[in-house]
Amino acid sequence: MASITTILQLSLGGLLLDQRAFHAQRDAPDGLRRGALLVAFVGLLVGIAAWIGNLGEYLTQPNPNQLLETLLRGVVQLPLYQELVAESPDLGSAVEQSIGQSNGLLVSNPLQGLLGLFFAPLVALLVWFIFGSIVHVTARILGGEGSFNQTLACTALASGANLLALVQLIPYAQVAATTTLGLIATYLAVRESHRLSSWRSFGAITLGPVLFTLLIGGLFCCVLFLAVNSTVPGVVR
Amino acid sequence: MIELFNGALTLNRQLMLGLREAPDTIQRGFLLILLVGVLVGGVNGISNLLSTATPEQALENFRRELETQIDQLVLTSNDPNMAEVTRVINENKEPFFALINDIQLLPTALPRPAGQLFQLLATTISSPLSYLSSMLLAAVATHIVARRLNGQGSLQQMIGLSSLSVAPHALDALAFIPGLGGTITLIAWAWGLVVLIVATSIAHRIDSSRATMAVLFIPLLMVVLIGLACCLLLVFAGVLAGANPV
Repeated sequence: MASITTILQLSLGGLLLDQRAFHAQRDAPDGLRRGALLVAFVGLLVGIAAWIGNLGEYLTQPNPNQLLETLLRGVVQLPLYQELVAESPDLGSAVEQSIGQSNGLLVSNPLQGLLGLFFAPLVALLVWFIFGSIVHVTARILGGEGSFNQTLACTALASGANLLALVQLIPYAQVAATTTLGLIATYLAVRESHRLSSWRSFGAITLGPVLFTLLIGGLFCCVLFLAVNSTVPGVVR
Repeated sequence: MIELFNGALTLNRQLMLGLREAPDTIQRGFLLILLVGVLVGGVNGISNLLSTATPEQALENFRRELETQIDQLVLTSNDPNMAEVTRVINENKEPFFALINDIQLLPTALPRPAGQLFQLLATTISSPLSYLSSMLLAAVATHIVARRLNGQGSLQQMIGLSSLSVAPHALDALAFIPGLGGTITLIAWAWGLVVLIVATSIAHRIDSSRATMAVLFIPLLMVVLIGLACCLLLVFAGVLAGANPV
């Protein structure tokens, strides 16, 4: 069983794009297990950080109900609102309804963050598995030699980039660069695990996900089209 | 780290050559970005903190910014309905500011200074990530073109050396000075571009003209493509307008 120190070292290796970490993962017999632990561990850490940050934001923002009451009272007093409501009286109830429904949007809810704490590692594992599988298939089509285990073991290091998201520990902090750095780490992972050239590795990390997204988008559009056709009478003749 | 910072600013080739061959090139580059980002973010955060120390100051700043934008809109617009728009804005301005003030004065679980401290820390810690994100995009785009131009550097070397282009952005810490902010940011950007060109030349062992081409190719391509897309859109809109005359 990989120790916490090994997992931390691997995640830092992924964050700093250290080639030795990718080699170690490719050649390790338990690389897949270590990779899964790494992805879940980083996911959990980020989930905890996001929850703490969310809690801080909640404590420094006003009560959501008071905020909405104040907002509604202020909007009603605006001359523009009064003019518009005089022209179309339905607008008043529509505005009140939409302000009433925006409760969760205005103030962050720590309960949602608590749910994220449990789901973050699971979502991270799922995304890693799906993305890793797609990249593996594309890499094999482009002439790669790595096994499925090696691909997943190496692509797990890309989750090291998510360590940057630990800044969410501080309320109101903005996360950036994780996606770009994660994609660069995935590119290195494919190159190392499949011993592919630079251009083929680049193709493997871009072609597969793009085709997969197009396929899912196409299927979604087909389902939506069929659903609309079946519910709107007279469309299908 | 200070030596690396100074070397980047003075385009020190020996230092860049050493960084290219160092096994921890990315680590050192990222630390430089962290240093510059924390400096700029910290100064900007303190500047924001001082300008919004009390609810009255925050409201006054908001009022000033909004009024500047409204003035610019009125001055630059050719819309014949602008007089009506101005009337509506002027009628609603004061009740709107009163609403903002009421929201600011609502009680919170933690006192107002705690929220301001969080904002200061958030600005400080978010700035390095913002610089890192921009640098990574520039480094990857440049690396792709540089490799096509027979560049020999690895992606790690390119990223490590490109990090040096963030050093001149330490000047962004002075962007709060009224009237000088834009000029200082422009100088920092141009200086960073020069550092990126030299860094590309050293990372990929190519001459300066090729390095310049590698750095500028994708941004220029994007500008041309966006320009073409705008032209096509205008032509398409013109054709549509011609087909459906009012």
